[in-house]
Amino acid sequence: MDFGLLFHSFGNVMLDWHVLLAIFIGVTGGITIGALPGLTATMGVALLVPFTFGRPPVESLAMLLGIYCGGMYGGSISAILIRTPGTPAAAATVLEGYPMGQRGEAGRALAMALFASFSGGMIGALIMTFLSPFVAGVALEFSYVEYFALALFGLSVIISISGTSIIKGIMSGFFGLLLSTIGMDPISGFPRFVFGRMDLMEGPAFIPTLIGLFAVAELFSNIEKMGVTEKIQARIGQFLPSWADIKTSANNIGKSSLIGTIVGAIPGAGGDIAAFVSYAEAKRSSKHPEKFGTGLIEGVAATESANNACSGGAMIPLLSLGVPGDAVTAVLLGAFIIQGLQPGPLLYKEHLDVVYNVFASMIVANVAMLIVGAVGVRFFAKVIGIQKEILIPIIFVLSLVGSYAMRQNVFDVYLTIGFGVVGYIMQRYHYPLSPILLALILGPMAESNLRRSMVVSGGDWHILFSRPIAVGLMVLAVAFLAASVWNHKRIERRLTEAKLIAAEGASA
Amino acid sequence: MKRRTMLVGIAALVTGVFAAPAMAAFPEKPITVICPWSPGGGTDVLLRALSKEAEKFLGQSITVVNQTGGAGAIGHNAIRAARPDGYTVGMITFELNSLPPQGLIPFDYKAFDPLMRVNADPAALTVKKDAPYNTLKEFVDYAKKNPSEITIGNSAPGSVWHIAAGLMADKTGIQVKHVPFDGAAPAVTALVGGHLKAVAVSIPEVRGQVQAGNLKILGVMDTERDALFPAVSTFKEQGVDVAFHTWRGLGLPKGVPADVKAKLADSFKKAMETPDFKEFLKKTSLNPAYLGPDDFSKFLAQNYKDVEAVMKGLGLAKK
Amino acid sequence: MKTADFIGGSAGIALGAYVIFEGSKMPPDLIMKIGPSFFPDILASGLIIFSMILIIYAFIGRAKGEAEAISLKDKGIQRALVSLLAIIAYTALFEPLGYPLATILLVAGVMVLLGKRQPKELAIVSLATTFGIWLIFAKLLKLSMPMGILERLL
Repeated sequence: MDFGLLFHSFGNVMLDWHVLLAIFIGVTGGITIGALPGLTATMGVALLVPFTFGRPPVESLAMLLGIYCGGMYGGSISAILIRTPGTPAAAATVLEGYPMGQRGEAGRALAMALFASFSGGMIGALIMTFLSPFVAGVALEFSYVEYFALALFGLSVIISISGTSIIKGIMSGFFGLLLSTIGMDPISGFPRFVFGRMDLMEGPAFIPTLIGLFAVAELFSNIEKMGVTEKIQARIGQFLPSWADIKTSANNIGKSSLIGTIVGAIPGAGGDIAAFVSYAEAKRSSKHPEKFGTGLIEGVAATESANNACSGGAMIPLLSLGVPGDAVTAVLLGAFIIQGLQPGPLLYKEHLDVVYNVFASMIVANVAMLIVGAVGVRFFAKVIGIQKEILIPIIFVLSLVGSYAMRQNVFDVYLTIGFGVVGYIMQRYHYPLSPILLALILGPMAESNLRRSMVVSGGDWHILFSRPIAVGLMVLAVAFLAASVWNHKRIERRLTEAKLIAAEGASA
Repeated sequence: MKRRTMLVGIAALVTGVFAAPAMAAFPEKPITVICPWSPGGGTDVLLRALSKEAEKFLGQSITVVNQTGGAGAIGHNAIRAARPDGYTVGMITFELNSLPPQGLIPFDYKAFDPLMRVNADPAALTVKKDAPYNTLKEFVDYAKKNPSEITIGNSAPGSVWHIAAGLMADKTGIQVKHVPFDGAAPAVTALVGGHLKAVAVSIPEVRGQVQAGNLKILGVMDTERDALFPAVSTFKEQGVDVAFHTWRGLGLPKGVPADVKAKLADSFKKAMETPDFKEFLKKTSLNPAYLGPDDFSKFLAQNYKDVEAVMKGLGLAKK
Repeated sequence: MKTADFIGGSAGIALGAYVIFEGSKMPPDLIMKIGPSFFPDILASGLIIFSMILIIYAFIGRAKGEAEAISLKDKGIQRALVSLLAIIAYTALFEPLGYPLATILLVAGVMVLLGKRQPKELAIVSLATTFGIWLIFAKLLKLSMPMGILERLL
């Protein structure tokens, strides 16, 4: 570590107003894009890459990194306010964030999301700055076998995010996994369940599905219950979480940031997986797991710190190996190449200044995110106070146009509406929706890597148990599954006890 | 009186509005370019760089629209079905010739009016730096001695690099296992991590890892050596007569007026010759391979025949 | 919830059965032993097993929670259905009519459905929404939006 050069890089970033401005523009744009359903951090970075043609590398990369950090946080805003994860990585934030908003604590949840995003982002960025070479080595150890095991481990958290009924949670999970098999088979290319439609050849597009299941389904139930539900009295005014909230969440933020950084550093696994795993871990280790799902501040802290820490983690393999750690960094790889820079070991040798500038930009971008977010929280939280008669049609348009914009395809809009109906019905009969999302993310990962392993081994199943990391992950998956079943029993017992006490209290 | 003036005025205005487009020179409004691949990918970045230069010669702005999905099928279909007025251009790629033999799309290159080819990049057989073979021949000998050991990664089943690897195995008579990945990058990563024996993807996709000393190229499937790695010999030089490229070009829907087509062809050709675009190609190490409308048409027909034949031979084509 | 769980479980079994039926028509893979139908078959079996458990639980009276039936006579359900039809119409008209007109109609339509009838408010909200979203998508992010019948006028 060359501290002199690192110091110099901070100077480059903070003292050049062009660069600083680029970061602030990037962060503000990123938060906006992230908060809008249908526009993800990936899309934001991809759409803005062309603007960096012909601009100096430090400035271009600073802006793109700003979008990346801002977008990751922005997703939580719509998750908390309108039950729509603005980005897939914020899907887990809906679980606790939305109930908090419904209770009138949107301001508190938003403030915690911001604080957790900042802390997670900082921890991820610091690990990236100081430990990159050590972490990068692990990423290369992951072959198809390890990816299959990782997918199994990820799926083991389904029970933790299932809500009241394990059976229905698992059914949702299987339904999601089946949806993920729609489209061209990843190994033989055979089109499965496509009903002769080209639009389905790569499966149901992920973002339209997400918008349908969450946003559109929620709009239907809002419209149905109009007039029945009371208007939410939102208390806003805070832009940072209270000291008490920080104290209850500190432990979770630390743990989730580490989980986020590690998951981010594994190529192909991103913020969505990190957030779900952290949520499950927060619930597992909690003293009162039965309160999860009712709007618990620790839940928001865990998911938001995890997905932002992921950004720093995902940059590690990109910079040191030239291998992107998630979807956003895959686009960033292209941005580097346009600048004539090839990420990887050579970048460290020949352009160490660029590497250090990236470190500095990432850290400054997190600070910028905290500032812009703090100013913005007051405005965002006002959304919840808008009359429903006006808010609902606006969210309808945003959801439908957002689904269209992704691929400029009307079919995807119909898909969104279809999933809106499915989501509405499932939710009404207590089938949880989050397992579907997790399954859509992990299903292709599990299947393609299992089949890849089989291609390599010639159909010999022993290959799955031949590698220590993979076996470790599979053991962890089984342990986690057992723990969450046991935990669920404990939750049910406590809830029945609580009911009995309430009944006694009423009769006495 | 007043009324008549007004009527005349309206009449003039109406004729003006409707007559103007016929008289004005093409283009008189912004042009849309369809990209069948997602934003930020190799095709998208190339197309945006090219469009940015072409704007100067067309005098109108160009919007790139990404209509992705179906392994490129959706975007190609959108180009084919666009209104043939020259205001919609599209980037067509190798998949236009590999999807029809698989029975995945109900149209082929004949449904397009080709404008120009932009680049063509050959496949390169790339292995780990510390592998015990340094030439194509040594690789083939090794593969023959260890028939079940060779795994070659590609970017998707039936993709250009799957076909390239299959063609190579066919011509050298070796047994290989084809391992499809979701894009070339993860396959290259798996090779660097030692989980595969080789990949047969293009040079821009392995350049970084080769320069970093993690991988080495055994041969390129081209008639000429690569500009960036002149020390690497071609397959032909090593006694295996295989040349295999991926290509990208611009295409129009059928029926665009000849003068409009000529204007587009001329403007995009000039765009390819600008110093900025040349600099872009150099940085991304893409291999420019301009062909005009007529040559590109002939190329497409020949390429289609070749690809179909290879895919049939490999069992990738649907009967 | 008993009836609801019975219906839900049956739907799961039907879906699973369909997947297995479709899977049986997929080409086998002789070399690796597992082909395109391998994964869907396992998942479908899992779905069927858990659907059966759900039905059995419903029968022995262990269904959880209360279920609200969907009744077409319910005012709320009627409203939700109308909104569903409205967005389907919007999607169908999105390209032919164009984004601006279709959006203005949808926003105003849904507002009327939800009980806002004041013309001035309808006009302001629908125009502002349409313009604002167009600004973000088309102008800032350069994503193209269909202009439909307005294209000739612009």
